[in-house]
Order: sequence, then structure tokens, then C-alpha cells
Amino acid sequence: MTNNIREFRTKLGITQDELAKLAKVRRETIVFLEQGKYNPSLNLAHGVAKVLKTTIDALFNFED
Amino acid sequence: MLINSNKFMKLENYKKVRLVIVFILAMVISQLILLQNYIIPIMVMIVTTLILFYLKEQVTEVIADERDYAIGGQSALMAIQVFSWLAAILMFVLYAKKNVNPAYEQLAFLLSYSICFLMIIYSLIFRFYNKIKGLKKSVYLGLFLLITFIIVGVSFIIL
Repeated sequence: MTNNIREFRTKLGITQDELAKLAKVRRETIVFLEQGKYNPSLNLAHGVAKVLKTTIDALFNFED
Repeated sequence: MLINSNKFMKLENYKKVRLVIVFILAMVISQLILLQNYIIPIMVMIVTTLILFYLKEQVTEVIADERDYAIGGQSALMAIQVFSWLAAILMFVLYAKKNVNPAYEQLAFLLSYSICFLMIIYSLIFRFYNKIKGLKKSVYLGLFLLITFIIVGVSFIIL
């Protein structure tokens, strides 16, 4: 599973730290998420999508 | 966008306070055990656990998230498996060498019972999380206090 979190985040101009605070996780989790090394729970995926003002479908590519 | 709350403690401060509390706790417990007092250390441990629990709730930043819990779960399971295997092997070795020193037999039994105890605890906690997880925090705190009181009660009876 790949994702476009970094692209959406940079588009909004927020840092990893800010995204982590808004999604209520630690910054390391955002780092691992962006690197594709961690598959988030549905709850976290929804939270990140909400913060980045997009949808889970647009954020994550499930076909890989 | 950040949620406003009445939490007052920064993560850095929490870590400092926790370090100080653990340091004081270690000193108090070691001194009281040297004085052969076993009840007060248990009480001190319970009180400090509750204080740390309260302070943890007051931290404004995220201390641990779902990734930490997932890693923690995997680590705990691996630790249990490693300990069980090592203890089982050591138990057989000690039992086989009981003629060398009779104390080895006692040690072997202690290890075997500790493995059984660990397995029972693991099964109970697994069952708890599998069936009951999703309760309110106050229920968890209530269960923690109940278990603590049982342990303290048993300690009083034994001592």
C-alpha cells in the first residue's frame, strides 16, 4: 500500500509535526506513514484524511 | 483546530517528573525493605502509580499512539515466548542436575510454575481484551484498583 500523504501535506504547507499534532499521533508515526512503512488503522487514516482535507481513497493507493 | 482542554503538563515536564518520582520511589522502597517493612513499599508503589497515571492524563502532547501500542503488543508477545522457551530449557537442565545441588530442583520448579503463571496471566488478559475491550477508562481504573486491593489484602494476610 502506497500513499500520497507527503504530497497533500506539502500542498497544504504543514509540517510533519503539525500533522502529527492535528492527527493526535507522534511525529515518528507520520514519518513511517509517509515512507509507507506503516499501515494505519481506519481511524488514523480517516483522521489524517480529514486533516489534509481529502478522502481516504485519494490518500491511499490500495492496489499496490 | 487543536482541541482545547484543561490539561496542563508538557511531555518534557512529565518525563522529568516521572524520572524524579521513580528515583524517589527506588530510594524509599530500598530503604524500607532494608528496614524489613514490606507493607509501606506496596502502598507507596500504589500511590505513585496513581499519581503517574493522573499526570499522564494531564499531558498535552501524545505520549503513545496506535503504532506504539502495536509494537508494544508484538514485543510483549515475543518477550513472553522468549522467556518461556529459555525458562523451560533452563528448567530441564536444572532438573537434570538436581543431584549436583538439591537447590536446583527447587529452582526448576520455581521456573516451571512461573511459566505456568505467565501463561495464565497472558490468557486472562488476552480474554479480557478480546471480550471486554471498549469499556470506559473509569472501568479500567476500577478494575486496576480492585486487583490492587486484592493484592494488598493478600499481602496483609501473608505478612
